[in-house]
Amino acid sequence: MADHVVASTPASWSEAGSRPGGLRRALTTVARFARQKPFGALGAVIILALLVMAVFAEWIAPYSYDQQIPGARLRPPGRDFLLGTDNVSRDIASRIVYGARVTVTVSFATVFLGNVLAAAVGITSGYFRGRYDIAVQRVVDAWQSFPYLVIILSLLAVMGPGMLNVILSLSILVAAAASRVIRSATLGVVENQYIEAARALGAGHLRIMLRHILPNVTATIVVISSIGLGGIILAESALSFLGYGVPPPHPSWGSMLSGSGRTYMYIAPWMAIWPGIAISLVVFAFNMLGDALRDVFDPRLRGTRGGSVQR
Amino acid sequence: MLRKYFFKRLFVAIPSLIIASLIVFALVRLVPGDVVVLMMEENQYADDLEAMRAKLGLDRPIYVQYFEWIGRALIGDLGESLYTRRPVAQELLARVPVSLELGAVAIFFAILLGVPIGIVSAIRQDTAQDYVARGGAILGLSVPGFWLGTLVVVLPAIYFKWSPSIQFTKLADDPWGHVTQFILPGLLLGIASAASIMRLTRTQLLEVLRQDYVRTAWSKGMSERVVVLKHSLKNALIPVVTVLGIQVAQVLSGTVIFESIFGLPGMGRFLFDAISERDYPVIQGINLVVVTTVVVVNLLVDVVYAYLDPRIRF
Repeated sequence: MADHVVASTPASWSEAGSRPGGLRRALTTVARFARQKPFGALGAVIILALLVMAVFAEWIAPYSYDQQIPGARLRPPGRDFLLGTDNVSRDIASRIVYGARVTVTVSFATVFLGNVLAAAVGITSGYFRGRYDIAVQRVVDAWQSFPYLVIILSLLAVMGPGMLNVILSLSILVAAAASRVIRSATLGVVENQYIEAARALGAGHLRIMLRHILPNVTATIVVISSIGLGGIILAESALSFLGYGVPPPHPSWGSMLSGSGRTYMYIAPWMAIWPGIAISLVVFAFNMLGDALRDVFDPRLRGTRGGSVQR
Repeated sequence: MLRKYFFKRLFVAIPSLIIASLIVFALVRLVPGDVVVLMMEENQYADDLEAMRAKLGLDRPIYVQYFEWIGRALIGDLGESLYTRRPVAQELLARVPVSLELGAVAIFFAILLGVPIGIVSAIRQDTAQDYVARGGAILGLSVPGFWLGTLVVVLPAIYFKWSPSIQFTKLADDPWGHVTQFILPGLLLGIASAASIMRLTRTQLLEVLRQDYVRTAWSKGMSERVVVLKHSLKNALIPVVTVLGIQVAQVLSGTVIFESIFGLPGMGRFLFDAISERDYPVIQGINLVVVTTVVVVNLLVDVVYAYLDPRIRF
């Protein structure tokens, strides 16, 4: 599939952030980013709120995620319960706050694991080329040919549900897609003279890949990670919705929309509304930030999505 | 030339398909511990362990198992469902058309919405319309389909005392009802694809609108309508064809969710049921059919692309 390259002028400040500098310099960079990419900055703020919610859930949530409040069954949103309560008298707002933990853990762990794997595959593939590259690319092709929900559900059927298995199976798919992009970035880097110079100085393959290629494809990795995060969150919530995500009573936004609560949504629509808004808002934020980072760091990636995992 | 390209492309597709089949084959053998013991404990699929092993073909060397499995699959024998005890191929034959109908409706809506909005967004670049369209597209990629599906079933039932039917209507019983039942799930399933298509149409058209021949067309005094629709759009839409290949995989993923929510007896729903029953021959069969579909569609898309745009036949 051809990548569609759009000519674009890289913003002049794109290098500023990577250079060492004081707090002031960092703040100027952030301010400039916010001015030029207001939607990207909005996304960053929402993501920051998500992280705060995940880390400080105990302090932010008025109740525990599995606490059943006597006499407060199916209460509509109001003064006592900001987002209402569910069919077993639990506070929905608290469950959403705790649910941020699942979202953050799964998405960041997946993107980390997936990209480490992708970097290993992509860099070696682009560096060694030849038969190894051809063989690896066919395997990547094969993985990418599976509709993500079909293959992941099948994997989970075999491995059993649970957070770790969700992370493992999602990261294999993320790795396949990301390794493609990292490979093509590597192909460009390998052509540089400093690689030849390193080789002339007697550097081994491993050293060249780790010290000379990896730092030069890091920007690409950051961009595809941030673009991919939204897709991973959608995939996790879909798996939880289908009952193969994080098991109860731990709240995942996806699982809050499924299960026994579904029959009560007809009398308590707030049960159906809030978790969906939470997912949409966070994925929207990651997509905005990802798009903005891509425009800034790596305009060549325009028109591509970091991960194959969408919906 | 085109024939040469076709064979070159086929040379890439076949190894991918073989590797994909190995992945599908390996699935069942990935189970930690003994799959057969596990299955015997959970479901009563056979009388004893040895009978179960024989049924799954697990009592022979692994390479023999693979070649026997793939050989049978090539002549249309995908084994027998452990749960319904009927041939998997026969079960699939009844369900694949439902998923295809749903997928076709989804792609139809995706193009119907994505292409025109992309055009407007490109020719009115950086206006309010463009911002709304682009924001809407990102939103379309962000809202989970299963949530939209849930809202569409739940909310009208509360406020309008109406809800979409989740009872499947067969073509023979009520042709009109059969077709219309796909409209709502198809539309919802198509939203994410529409967003991708809109974004690509926009960037492609913007690219083409900057070309010299388009400027020539403007300078000859042609109307905007002619310049955009006659001169630019044809070239801009060629790459959009390639997206359809990617969308097929995405739409097939979506069928698992939408068929479950809207009670459509298609392949996605079948997979979901098979997974909760640990019905491995069905899981393998569906994976094989689905992955073959995606590989073949992508092959066709690439060949069509090469036909439409002779420049890419390198």
